[in-house]
Amino acid sequence: MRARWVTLSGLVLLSLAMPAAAQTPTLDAQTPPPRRPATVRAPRAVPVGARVFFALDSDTMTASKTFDAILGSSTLAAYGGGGEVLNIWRRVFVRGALTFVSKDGTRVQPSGDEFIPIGIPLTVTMRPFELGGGWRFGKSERDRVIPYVGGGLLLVGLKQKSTVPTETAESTSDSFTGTVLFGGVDLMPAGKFMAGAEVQFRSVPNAIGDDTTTSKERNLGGFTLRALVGLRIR
Amino acid sequence: MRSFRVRVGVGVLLLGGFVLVSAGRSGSAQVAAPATPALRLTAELIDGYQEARAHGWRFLPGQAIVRFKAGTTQMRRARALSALRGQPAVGSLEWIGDSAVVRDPTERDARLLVERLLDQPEVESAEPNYLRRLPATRFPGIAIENSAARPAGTPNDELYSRLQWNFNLLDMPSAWNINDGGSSSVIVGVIDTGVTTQQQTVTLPLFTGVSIQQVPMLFDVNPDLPATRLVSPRDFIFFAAGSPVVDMTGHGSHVSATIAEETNNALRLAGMAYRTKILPVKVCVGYWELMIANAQLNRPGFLVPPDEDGFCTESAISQGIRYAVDNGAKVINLSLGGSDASTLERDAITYAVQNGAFVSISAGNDFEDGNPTNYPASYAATIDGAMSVGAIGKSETRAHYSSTGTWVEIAAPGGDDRTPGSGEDSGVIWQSTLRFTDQDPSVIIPRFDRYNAIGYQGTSMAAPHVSALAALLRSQGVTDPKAIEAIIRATAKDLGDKGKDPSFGYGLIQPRAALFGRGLIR
Repeated sequence: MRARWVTLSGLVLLSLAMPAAAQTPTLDAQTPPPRRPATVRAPRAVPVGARVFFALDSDTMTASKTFDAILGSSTLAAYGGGGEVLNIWRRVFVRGALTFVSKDGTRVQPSGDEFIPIGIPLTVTMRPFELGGGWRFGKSERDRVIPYVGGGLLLVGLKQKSTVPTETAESTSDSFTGTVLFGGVDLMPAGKFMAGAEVQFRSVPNAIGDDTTTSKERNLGGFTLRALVGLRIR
Repeated sequence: MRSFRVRVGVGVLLLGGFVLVSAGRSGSAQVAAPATPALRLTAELIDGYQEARAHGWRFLPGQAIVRFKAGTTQMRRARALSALRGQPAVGSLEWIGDSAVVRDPTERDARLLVERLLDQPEVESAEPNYLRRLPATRFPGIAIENSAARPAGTPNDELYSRLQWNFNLLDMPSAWNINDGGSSSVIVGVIDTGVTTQQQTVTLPLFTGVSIQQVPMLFDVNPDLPATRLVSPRDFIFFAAGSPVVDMTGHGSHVSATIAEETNNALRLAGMAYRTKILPVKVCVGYWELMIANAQLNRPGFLVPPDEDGFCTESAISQGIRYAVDNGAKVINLSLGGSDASTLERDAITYAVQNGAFVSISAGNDFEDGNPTNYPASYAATIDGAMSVGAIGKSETRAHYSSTGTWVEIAAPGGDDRTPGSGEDSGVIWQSTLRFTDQDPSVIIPRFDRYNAIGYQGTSMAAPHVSALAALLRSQGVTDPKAIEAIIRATAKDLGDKGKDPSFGYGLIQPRAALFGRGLIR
């Protein structure tokens, strides 16, 4: 990182110095041309850029029985957005993204491998925050199709709110840490606008439920299919 | 002899006063006209019960329950019955499901009757018509009713805070925050001594010490369990069909009150599932039913009171369970039992569960009497959707009387007067029921119209806590009896040895945890 900044600083200084060089008197034809300093070769690196995106996710949860029982489905739709700093070193990028999913369901009682709905409404809200990085393939950000892979930490904020007739709604929230691996492709359909698709594998162990159920579903992770649209800023 | 003369004299005086009182009451528009309903309680049952007591039998003499093999024709049934000493006719059989009550008054020892029946190739099974007891002991005291300070969030029933330790032990106020008393669409069948369903004066014969007289007897509905909360009452042992149901001991009323006593009405005590309805089925009788039926037969004299609140026959119990299920009960409470296995009862419980009714059964009070296996409680261990309930006291220890065994599945407060430092509540279970001094066998003319906060202890009292919890779960949409049992088990607080044990089963019921369940975050 520091080396990169040193390189960039060198480039900036060089560009400032170049006009001065242009004003120096013309040398004799016999005078050999000055040798180019070695640092000039640095611009072969891809310039730093950024992109911001809006994401639409389809999360298929690993704890399918639990989610099926409580929320009626183990596939949840989430939305959110994020940003990436691209090419911070060669083709490396870093990412931060936050998505949001909320769904109504019912509280349950686990019994063996079964979940018995008990008629108390429940609203579950999840906010997975991704902090990670990865590698973008290809030589340039000008490529029309750029595949990428990456991984990172996942911090999932989970909140559930139950509504019972005679009691103030009970709200419980907690946060859990896990990991995420992802891979996808960016498409550059027009200028700065980009679209993309991504698949993620998330693992958030020991987050939900308990060991009393036969299936012992405790992971809040799963597979995520993500559609992205956004802007790339050079 | 002297006490008898005193009793007779007092009886005559009381009778005069009683008639005057009842005459005054008859002016009320709500009071039903005096009537003398036909009795179902026959000399056969009275004499049979007395005879059984004299011999130490736990069954009715001259009766057996028989099940014929599938496909047995009427003719073959008649042949089988002809092998009995009294040769009862096929038409005299009283059918209960696939089984029938056979009556042969000439063969008093039902074990011999059963033996003969089992010798017949047409017969699949036979057993005596066992007598069941009501596992409860009444506490000799009446709570004085006056207003008391109440902690915020608790019911405003005046004696709640002072006496109903059992509901606080179960943290019912927080459970009621989740489910405030269930739903009126949930019906709990209480198979017991009955619950009085209407205010009335019934003229009944009674031996008053001098002679048998027609005595107007007062019955009234428990103001803390009004008639609007009672549905489809039925009597299978005392009054003939079509008559109102009456409780003459207080046991059935007490059990029903634990389940569904009116709550937050500033009167006496609270019930756990206080919005649900009770379907009272009378299958047990006590001293006064026997006395009245005896007088009806024109037989003067005092009878020996039953040891406990009364007794029940397995045939009536089985009929009662089936009736309750057929008339909409989704929870059945059986606060009764005995030490003899009964296929008839097991079949009735299975019928209930198969038809969507959860069954809660008292585990029995016989720990200090040899701790025999209790029936029908022990059947619950093999029937998903039925639970046998042991009793605990205030300190969450097993009540001294509560039977133990591998078949005990769950525990609930049943009271224990031996709990040290119990205080005003004496460690027993208090509910609104008949004022027992009005029906004590020592009185000449009983009355059944006055209610008070009365303490009882027994697994009879524990079972209705589980019934009420089942009713609350049912009102939240948990309709499968197996699921209800699974939830009650899974949320129980483990007591005693780790895991399921013979004293507490899976542990003490936890209503709030059972009713609230969990979401993604536990």
